[in-house]
Order: sequence, then C-alpha cells, then structure tokens
Amino acid sequence: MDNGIPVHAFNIGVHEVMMIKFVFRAGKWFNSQPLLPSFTCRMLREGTSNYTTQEIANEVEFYGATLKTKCSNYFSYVTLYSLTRHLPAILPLIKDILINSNFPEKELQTILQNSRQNLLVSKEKVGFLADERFNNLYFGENHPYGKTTSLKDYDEINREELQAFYKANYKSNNCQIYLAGKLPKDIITQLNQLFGGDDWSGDIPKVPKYTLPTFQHLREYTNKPKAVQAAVRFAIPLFNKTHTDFPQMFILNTILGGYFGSRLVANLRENKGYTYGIYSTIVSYLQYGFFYVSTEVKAEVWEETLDEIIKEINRLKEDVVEREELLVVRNYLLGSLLSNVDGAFNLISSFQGVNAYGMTLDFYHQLVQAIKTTSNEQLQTMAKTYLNTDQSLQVIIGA
Amino acid sequence: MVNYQKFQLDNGLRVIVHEDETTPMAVVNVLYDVGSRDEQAHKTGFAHLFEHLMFRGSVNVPDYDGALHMAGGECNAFTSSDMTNYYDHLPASNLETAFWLESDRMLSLNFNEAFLKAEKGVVCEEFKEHYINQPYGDAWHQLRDLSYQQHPYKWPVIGKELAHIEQVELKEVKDFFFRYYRPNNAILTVAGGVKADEVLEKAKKWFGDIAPSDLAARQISPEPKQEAFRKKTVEADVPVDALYMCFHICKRLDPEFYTVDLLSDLLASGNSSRLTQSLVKEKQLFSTLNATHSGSFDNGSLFVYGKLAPNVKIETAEAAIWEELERLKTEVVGERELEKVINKVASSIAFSDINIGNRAFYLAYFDLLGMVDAINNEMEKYIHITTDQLQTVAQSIFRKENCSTLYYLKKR
Repeated sequence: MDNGIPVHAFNIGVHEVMMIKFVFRAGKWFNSQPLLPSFTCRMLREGTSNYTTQEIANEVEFYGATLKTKCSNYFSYVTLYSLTRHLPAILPLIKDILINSNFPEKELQTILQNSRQNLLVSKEKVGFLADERFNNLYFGENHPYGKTTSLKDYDEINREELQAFYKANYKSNNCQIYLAGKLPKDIITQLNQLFGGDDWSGDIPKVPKYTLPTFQHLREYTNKPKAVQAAVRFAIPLFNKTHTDFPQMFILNTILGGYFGSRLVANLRENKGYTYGIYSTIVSYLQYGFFYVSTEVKAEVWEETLDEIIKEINRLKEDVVEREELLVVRNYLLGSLLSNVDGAFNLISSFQGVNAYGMTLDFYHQLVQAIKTTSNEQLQTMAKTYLNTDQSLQVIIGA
Repeated sequence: MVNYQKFQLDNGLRVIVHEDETTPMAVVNVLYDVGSRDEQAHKTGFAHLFEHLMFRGSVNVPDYDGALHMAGGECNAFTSSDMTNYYDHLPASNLETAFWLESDRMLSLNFNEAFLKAEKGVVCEEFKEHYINQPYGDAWHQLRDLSYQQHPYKWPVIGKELAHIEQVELKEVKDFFFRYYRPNNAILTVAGGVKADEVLEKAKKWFGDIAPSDLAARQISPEPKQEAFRKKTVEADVPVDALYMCFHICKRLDPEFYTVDLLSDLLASGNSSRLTQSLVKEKQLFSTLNATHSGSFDNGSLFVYGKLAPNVKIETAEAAIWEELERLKTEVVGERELEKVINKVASSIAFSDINIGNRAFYLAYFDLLGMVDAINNEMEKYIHITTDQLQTVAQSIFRKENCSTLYYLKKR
C-alpha cells in the first residue's frame, strides 16, 4: 500500500465471501508476561473512542460478518470474515479498532474475571496441565512460551499497560495484510483510503531476546488424582521449517505419527486400543523447532506407551522403511498438499505459513520434490541423525 | 447456486452428483440412514462403535485407510443421533479408488473378533477422554436423561455407559451391518472435479450389484409431552458452578424449525447476542453462556448453558435467564435484530458452501430429509420469518413445564 504495508492476496473463488487479516508482530514473544500481548489483542473488540463493545459487536454481526482477534506466539491477528458486498460497510470500524481502541476498564474486568474462571476449569484437564508443564520445562519460566499462568497473574493486568503495548505495537509499519476470497474490484483503493496513510505509523520497540534453558533429558510424572487417562508429551529438540533437512524429517515424521496410517496410530490405537488418538509432529516456531508426540492414554499404560514411542523411533533407525509404506506416505502427502492449495482460503494459509519465515511458495515445490525423491535410506539417516531418544523431554500427567 | 443431479440405482441407492470444475479434488460422501436413535436403551453407543469398525477393513480390502492414502486421499466419519456419515477426499483423478473402497465396505465387512476388541478399547478411551476425564464431562448425559423419558435421544451418541460398549458382541455387529448398511438405506454423493455421467456409470459398476435389505420403516415412539418442570442437582469435583437448561422443540422438518433456529441465534450467537450482552457483559452473572439446538430429526432440544461468574448464586443466574426468555415472549423483537440474525444465516450458508466437503454432505443431508433442493433454497425459509412468529414460538417453548434444568455444582 501507499505507506508500505505489504498486502498478500488470493483473489479467486466463485462464492461472494472473503477474509481480510491484519497481522502484527505483537504476539506473546513481545513481553515476558505473555498475558499482556494476549489481553491487548483480546480487548480490541471491547471498545474504541467511537464505538462501545456492544456497538462493535452489533455492527459486525448485523452484516453477518465475524471478527476474530487472536494472539499467537509471535504474531497477533485481527481477522474479518464477511460477505464480499458488506466489506465497505465494516472496514471503517476495523480501522477504528486498529487505531482508536481504548480498553474500557469495565470490559477488561469482565474479561479478566471470566478468564480466571476458564483457567480454573482448564487446570482440571490433564491435557492442559501436560502442555503447560511441558512448555515450562522446555522454554523455562522466564520465556513467554514457558511461563505458567496462575490466577494472580490476572490481577496484575491493567489498562495502562495494555494501552501502552497497543500504542507501541499496533502500527502500520508493523503490519501485514492477507486477503482471500472473491475480493471487491476496488479493494486496494478501499484499503489505501483507510489504512494506507501515515497516520498510524511509529517507532516499533526492539524485539526482545530470550535464551532457552540448557536442554535436559527428563521424564517427569505428575499425579492428578482420579484421572482415568494420562496425558503424555514427548519431545526431542530439532529445527524449524527453514532447515534444509526439514522436508525429509517431515516425511519421516509422517510415517511415524503424522497421519492416520502412521506407525504410532497403528500400534497404540489400532492394535492395542490404548488411546483414541496419538500423533507426532515437527513443531515449528519462528526461532525453534522440536519433534513432538502427544497423546492421552488409558491411565495405567503411560509407561508402556512411552516405551512404544521409543521403540517406534528406534525401529526407524534400525530398519529402512519398506518400499510399499514409503509409497503410501508419498501419495498421501501429495494428495494432502493438493488440498492445501485448493481454493483461496487454503492458499492464503499455506502462504502465510511460509511467509512468516521469510520464505516463498518455493518451500512447497521443494517439499514436493523431497516427497517424490527421498529414499528410504535417507530417511533412516535422518532418524539416526536427529531422533536421539536419550535426549528427550517426557511429561506425564496421570493417576 | 450448488448444481446437482440425482439418480437412483435399481437396488435403491440414491446417487447425487455435484460438478465443480474449479477444484482438482473430489469428495465421495456416503450417508447411512442410521444413528443412535436406532439403538436400544440397554445397548447404547452401538451406532458410533460400528462407525469405527467400518475402517477395520472390508471383505476384499484389508486396510481401508492404507488403500485410500495410497490414492492420495483422506477419510473420516461421524455419527449423530440421526445418521452416520462417511467421507473421502482425494484427487479427482483417483476418484475410482473411493468407489472401490466404499462399495466394498457396503458389500461386506471383515468381521473380526480381534479388531472388535481393539476398537472397543479405542472407543472406551474416546469416551473417557471426552466424557469422564473432563470437568462437566457427563453433564450432557445427565441433561438428556432428565429431558427425555422414552425417546432414544435420552442417551448421547457415545453411549450411556462404558459397559454397553464393552459388552458388544460380533454377532450384533453383523446383524446391524446387514440391516442398516445396505444400498437402499444409503445416499452416495460425489462432488468436485467430476462429471455426472461418469459418476453414474461408476456408481452402477461398483454399487449396482449390492443386494438391498428389506428394512422396515423406523418405529420410534415419540417422547411424551413434558407436563411439569424437571430439575436435578449434581455435585462434582469441578471448580465452578454450571447451569444447563433444556427445552423441547419441534422436529427438523417442522416449518417452525427455522424460527427456533433464529431464536437460539438471537439468544447466544455472537457477542451482540442477548444473553452475552446482558448476562455475561452487563450483569456479569456468567463467565460463559451459550444457546444451541439439536436440529434433530425427531422432536429435538434447545439448550441454554453456561458457567457462573464467581460469587453468583445459581438461583440468581437461573432467574436472570428466565427474565431474558420472558422478554422474548412479551416484547416483540426489533426488525433490525431480526435482520441481523437472518444476515448471519445467509453468511453461514455462504461460508459453508466454500468447502466442497460441506456441499457434498449437505446434499446428502437434505436428500435424507426429502428436500434436496433446500441446498439452494433454504435461505427463503428464513427471510419470511416475522417478529410475530418469533414471539409466538418463544411463548410455546420457553415455559417452565417444557424445561429440564441441571445444576452442576462444585462440591462444597
């Protein structure tokens, strides 16, 4: 746009619907107390100097549109889903949200109170507790991704700090726009009129830096009385999707636990009936990556489950993957990539998933190449190189 | 506009094709007209367990998932009170693989004791994960049981208790299959980058010689009319008190259904909705509050449920909900508010239609209801609804004697 905001668009589709997403570098990373970025983002729907929370809701919903705000690890998002014809009616309100939010005290207190209640409920769930404990051990208490939230943390959230965080980070020169669907012909003009000026630029705070605690091999079991299932998390430090070996590891992971036909599913669900679901993935953050297995299993078999996870990883090192199994995974992945680029909404999220790393759609071309050409010996080498189970973090919450 | 062509094979299988040349993908959706309402009270959870067994291999295909993955596809299924639906997404160029797989598991399954045993384990873990090892996990079990006295909607799709699943025998699995999983009890929808004449030809080739069953029409006696207010209190290890209310509503095919749908949107769809604005934001009685309805084929339910804000008495919270419900009965809804909920429906339909899988499913769903053309004209049912109708229907639903209320309290 005129002021330099990058706009990424997939203007295709036969249906009269669209999405516009404003992305800011204002996620949890940007404060050592991650609740601050979270509540800043959450409060964007709660009032501006021109609209009350009720007016914002009424205005958006009158047009059948949906407004979502989301604070993720590194970015925060303000997303509008709307019928194409209603966009001009709603966009001025979005502008107001981005530059004139005023964080009304009453709404803040309501949201804090409700968040406290929700936290109490979440802390009763083994899955939540396991994720929280895992992040705390992996990232450390001083890292925003690792910080454990307690009720009293909500007491320290105040309007002034939210407003300051908002004023510093929700700026045009900290923003990117993603568009998808059937877009109005004059979309760029509309956007420029509202968002293309210099009226909302400013100095952006320095990006904070964090160091991870030294990784330690650990198995930690925590008792949650009366739990009938145990939540199990297992991780090995790795790299993120910018690494040259990512595509091959991605294929290897698929075989191990990345799809419904995987070895972990076959072993622990289909053969043993211990779990409703188990999956593994390569968790990719902008700065980090790790190999990760997650499941909730019958309470009494958590140790056996961990043994089986390790056994399945070791099997990948000891034996090459059979030709037939590799072929199934290849075909499955090619089919699933095809559906990831089918339609504007899938395309934009595939694009967003690489653009955040400064990569282009070429990532997917390389992935397709790797899927077609990686040999079973190469996969075995990957397993031997990167999946050292003696350097793993294992967190279990059960009874 | 969703284009479609409809055919019927000699064995009774209904076939619907939706061509969309803009996608390289195809969806094959097979809907069976059987759900948890076809179960008996002492053998609940069966229809859902059976759905799992449909992925355990069929007479000529030992590994359903593997064969589909080999063709670049993915599949899944769900069971509801009223139906069981299976779908495969795959590149359109590999369409025939899905015909082979779906027809083989309609022909006959690979009935196997070991698989049944393992799958019972999987479903029991699913039961635990969602309904036991969660705070409030059994609330819907409790509420349905209170609200229905006879109709099979009395139990949830997952089943009334783990024991019912553990007791299932292979013979019952076989009987169920040959009774319900027959071509005359199914609807096949194929959507995406496909051609109708090719689909019909392939449907005949793969499904045409599967024998139909002589399935008699379903006989479920209707739930007797509720005559008095029902209330139950449960105390459990939960951190926050919660309130659940359930009202009987009409069946899906009743013309009144669309008005009920709008009423539940007025109450709790979005941040501008009445319950959210009044009871969560202004009065701060609830930390979360929702209203939904079951949309079920037989007379269904409208639910209002939420978790309380701290230091709020549940009686106070309950009375505040009644106050909002009374408002719907005594005051006419504003035209703009009505327009808002109608616009919301229009938008939901438009967004749902982007997805080829949704189009495939809804074609089958509407056809099962005997109104396949609703895929394109359902919106008309909403735009003619008046504020008077909203008031009249609210008056008929939101009555004490039509209500079952569950207090789900923190153990003191």
